[in-house]
Amino acid sequence: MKADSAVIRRISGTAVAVRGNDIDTDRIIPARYMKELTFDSLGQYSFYDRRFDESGNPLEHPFNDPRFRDASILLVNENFGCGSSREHAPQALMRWGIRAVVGESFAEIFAGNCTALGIPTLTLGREQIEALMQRVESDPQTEIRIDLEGCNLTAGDLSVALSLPDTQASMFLNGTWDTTTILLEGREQIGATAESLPYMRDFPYDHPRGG
Amino acid sequence: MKGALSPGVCSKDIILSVIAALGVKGGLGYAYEYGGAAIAALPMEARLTICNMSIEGGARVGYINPDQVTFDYLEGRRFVPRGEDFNKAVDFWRQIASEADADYDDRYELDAAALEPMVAWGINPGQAVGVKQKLPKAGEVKPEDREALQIAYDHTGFRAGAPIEGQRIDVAFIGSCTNGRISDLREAARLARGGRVASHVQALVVPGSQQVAEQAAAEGLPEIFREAGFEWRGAGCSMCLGMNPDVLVKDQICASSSNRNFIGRQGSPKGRTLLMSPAMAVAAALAGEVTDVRQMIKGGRA
Repeated sequence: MKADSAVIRRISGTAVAVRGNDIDTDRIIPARYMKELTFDSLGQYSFYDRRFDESGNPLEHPFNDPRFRDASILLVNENFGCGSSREHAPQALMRWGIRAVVGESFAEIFAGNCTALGIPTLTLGREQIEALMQRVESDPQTEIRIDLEGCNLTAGDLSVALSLPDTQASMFLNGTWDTTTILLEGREQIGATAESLPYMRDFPYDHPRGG
Repeated sequence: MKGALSPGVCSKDIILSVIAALGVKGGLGYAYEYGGAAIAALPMEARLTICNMSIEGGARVGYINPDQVTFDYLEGRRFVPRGEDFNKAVDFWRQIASEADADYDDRYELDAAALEPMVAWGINPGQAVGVKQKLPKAGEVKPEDREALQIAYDHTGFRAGAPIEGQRIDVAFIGSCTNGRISDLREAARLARGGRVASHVQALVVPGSQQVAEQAAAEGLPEIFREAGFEWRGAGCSMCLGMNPDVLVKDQICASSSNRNFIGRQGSPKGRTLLMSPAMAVAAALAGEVTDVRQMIKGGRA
């Protein structure tokens, strides 16, 4: 249902930087922690093998640093979320408390999965993200404000422009990022489109009956 | 992709080579279309391996234009239109193939004849070399790839400049959505027949689906694998991602026909994954180390 509560115009909070290019979804959440019945408790497994050694002793990692524990904005570098398309990756980050991810670039399926959870993935240049990461690392309490309408981000006196594809921006601003709901609402249009497709209309696939 | 593949070189080597050349971000924001003589000559299942790994090259999607190989593969299959409907479908599919003069944002050419079996040795599928090549030194990769290279050496313990051929392995895994199809298992069985898995190696063969498992059983493949010392398992993902008990232990090294070698991917945070074709994985299982499957073929083993 398109609800006003689903509209996302602004996100604010403190941030945490996880540096490095090509951080894959196996690093965001190792597959062995995907066997939960629900997504509810996945947050604790975020970056698990980076945060703990094999004996469960904590390692140095921004997600283990108490100064960043309440951060809701994740700062990353290039191609974040590559690899397996597992929805568990954005789910884990969301359950951890992340509400937006800002970085140089994102793997596309990961970005799509984030969008479908109401988590914008916003991009900016290398110099801007570096400045932002340094700011946050030197002052973890820096209040970050992201404005999706103006597509910019402020961190104290630092202000940078962000990029977000128009389609994604409109999904957040109109509260239509929950694609399952959109599909359910659009039944009639889906049916009409299906009727117009040659492979549905002219040569339907061989319907298996009962498997 | 021009030219023809040499014996022992297959579609997995094509896609590993493409990702090695263009990087794991090469396709970000784009689709990959694969074409040319080397692709046209590939059977359908080999094409699926290539398209499957487009994601590893950063592309949203990868495809090969429909041709007679595609139509022949589809005809008679479940979910496919039948009779006159099938002819209509083929007419439609022909229309959606790219025109010969289509515009592309970029082109990359590869000579399949010059390709050797590939091994992705590092922590992403782009860190791959030919089996006869040496692992790269920092100065031999693009500046933006040096950080990942260092992480790869820190994780694997391999040395820059060392050959990948001869690297001892602990586990061999033949399976996954990338290379767990019936044609993969037939090729693997052809190479495994009459051989013996090295005594220090655990070797698993895992069909990609129930249908593949049934077909393989009907062709007697499980017996061939078992006689050669491979474990024949039920269909599934198995050691591709370590969600069931098939996982690497500690820093074991796995010769794997799967698609991803990220840190921890095969269930152990310290585990090491070498991606390669099913034929190369069988060769490694028998030799107990990374070896050039082309020599095995020449030596009359298959």
